[in-house]
Amino acid sequence: MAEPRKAFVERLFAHRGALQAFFFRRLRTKSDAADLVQEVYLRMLRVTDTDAIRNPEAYLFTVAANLLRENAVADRRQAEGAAIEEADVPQLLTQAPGFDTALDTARRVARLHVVLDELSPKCCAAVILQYRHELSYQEIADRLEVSPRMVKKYLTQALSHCRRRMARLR
Amino acid sequence: MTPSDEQIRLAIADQASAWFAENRGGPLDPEARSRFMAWLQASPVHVGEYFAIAALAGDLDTAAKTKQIPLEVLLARARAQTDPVATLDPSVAGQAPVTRPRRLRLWSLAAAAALACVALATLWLTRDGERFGLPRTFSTGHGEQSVRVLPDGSVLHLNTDSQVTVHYSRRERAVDLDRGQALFQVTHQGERGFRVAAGNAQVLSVGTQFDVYRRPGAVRVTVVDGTVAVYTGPPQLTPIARRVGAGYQVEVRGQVGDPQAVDAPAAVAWLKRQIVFENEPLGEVADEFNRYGHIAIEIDEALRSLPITGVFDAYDVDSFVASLATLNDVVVQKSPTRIRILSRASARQEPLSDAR
Repeated sequence: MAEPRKAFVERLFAHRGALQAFFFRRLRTKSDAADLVQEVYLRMLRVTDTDAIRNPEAYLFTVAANLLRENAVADRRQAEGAAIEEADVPQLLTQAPGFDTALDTARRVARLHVVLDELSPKCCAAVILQYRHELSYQEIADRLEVSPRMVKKYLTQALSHCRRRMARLR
Repeated sequence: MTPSDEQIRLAIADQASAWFAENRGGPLDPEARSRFMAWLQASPVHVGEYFAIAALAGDLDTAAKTKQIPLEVLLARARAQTDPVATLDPSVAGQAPVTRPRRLRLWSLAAAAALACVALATLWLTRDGERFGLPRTFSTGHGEQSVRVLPDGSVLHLNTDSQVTVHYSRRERAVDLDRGQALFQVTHQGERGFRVAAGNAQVLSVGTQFDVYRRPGAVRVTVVDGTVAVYTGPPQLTPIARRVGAGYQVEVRGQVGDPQAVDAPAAVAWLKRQIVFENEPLGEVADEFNRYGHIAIEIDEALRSLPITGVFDAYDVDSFVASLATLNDVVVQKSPTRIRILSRASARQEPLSDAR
């Protein structure tokens, strides 16, 4: 169980930049992003035997990454007028037009520093312990003297709150 | 209070956050896995929001790593926080992500007010806060589509020119398809079934996805996922129901026809604003386009049965008409108000008069 999980997290983070670029930047060109989401969704709809997919989340990101790759290939083809068959996915994605700039990221991160201070102390601590100290939910629970379920709760609250406060920045 | 689109969006953001936290905690058990899958499949909005939360988590990772706060200070503050549990409902903690009212914090007054709305919206969306017995009507105009999250979390996609009336009771979830077409993505609620009535056709499901298209004289039911029971007549009588599984379609014309295998994604292509035809008579194809467009396409009687195959953008009548023009024996006459598709023979007899 640990192995596919690890593979998934690696895959997620391999495409993180691309996903961010895609959702935080290309959402401005609404039709593009909406089309891609729609396409991912329709592919999800085709999955009839959900048991066959051991990790729907990984599947979701795989579908998205494939679509992003297809798009990046199409974009490049358009730009260069040349066919690209076996291109390195992450490399291609970072070169795709509309890629997030370092400035955009810095701006969002600076904003998140402020938003993190708005969270309740336990909520904020859970976030920092998860991301900065890379602790498991159980380890965070021990430090905060709460249950792992409560940790999950705090992390959910943190994401929801940040999502609301960052929405306008998109 | 009816939740606005914004409130629904925020509630979906809460659900996406909960699922994301759930997934990051470790592998889901099979039951949670299938609920997560069902949630993703319930709406493209869910999928989009999940991606947005994943992207946000990426930024949060960077922000947390660069946040200047010593660990001891962080933990001291956290332990000093007095009321963490009181405002949360422990009975729901750790169950599957379910949206519920959130605690008001000491942010700005405006944020508190905004959150109060969210709390109301999530309350409305939560099973416990569901209001019974008040029928609600949702409709779309010509060329319009919409997505609604129903009180039980089921999702309703309405196609153009469509209307449904939703009556929820403790015993069952009943929806009348008053006209048009809708895709239902039904959440499972044990014994509390989900029933759609379209004229005399009744479709019963417990947790599945299916499309109901009501036309004059016929109702078409397409099952995308799971199984439904289709029958005719009033719901009180014990019906002789026909079970229809995923990938099958039935036509109800007075009585329920035999299930036919279909390409289910094609049947719900309207979600993507596409129309898909495989050897369907031109007359029906044109009727389909006329559901969306503002210029009516008229088909010569002689051509109505001409078989058509293709995938078209529902709002791009021009491309469709252009593709017809390439057929032998077909003549297209266009004016600002109408498009006529004629056979060559008829075209010679009646030139287009645009006086109408």
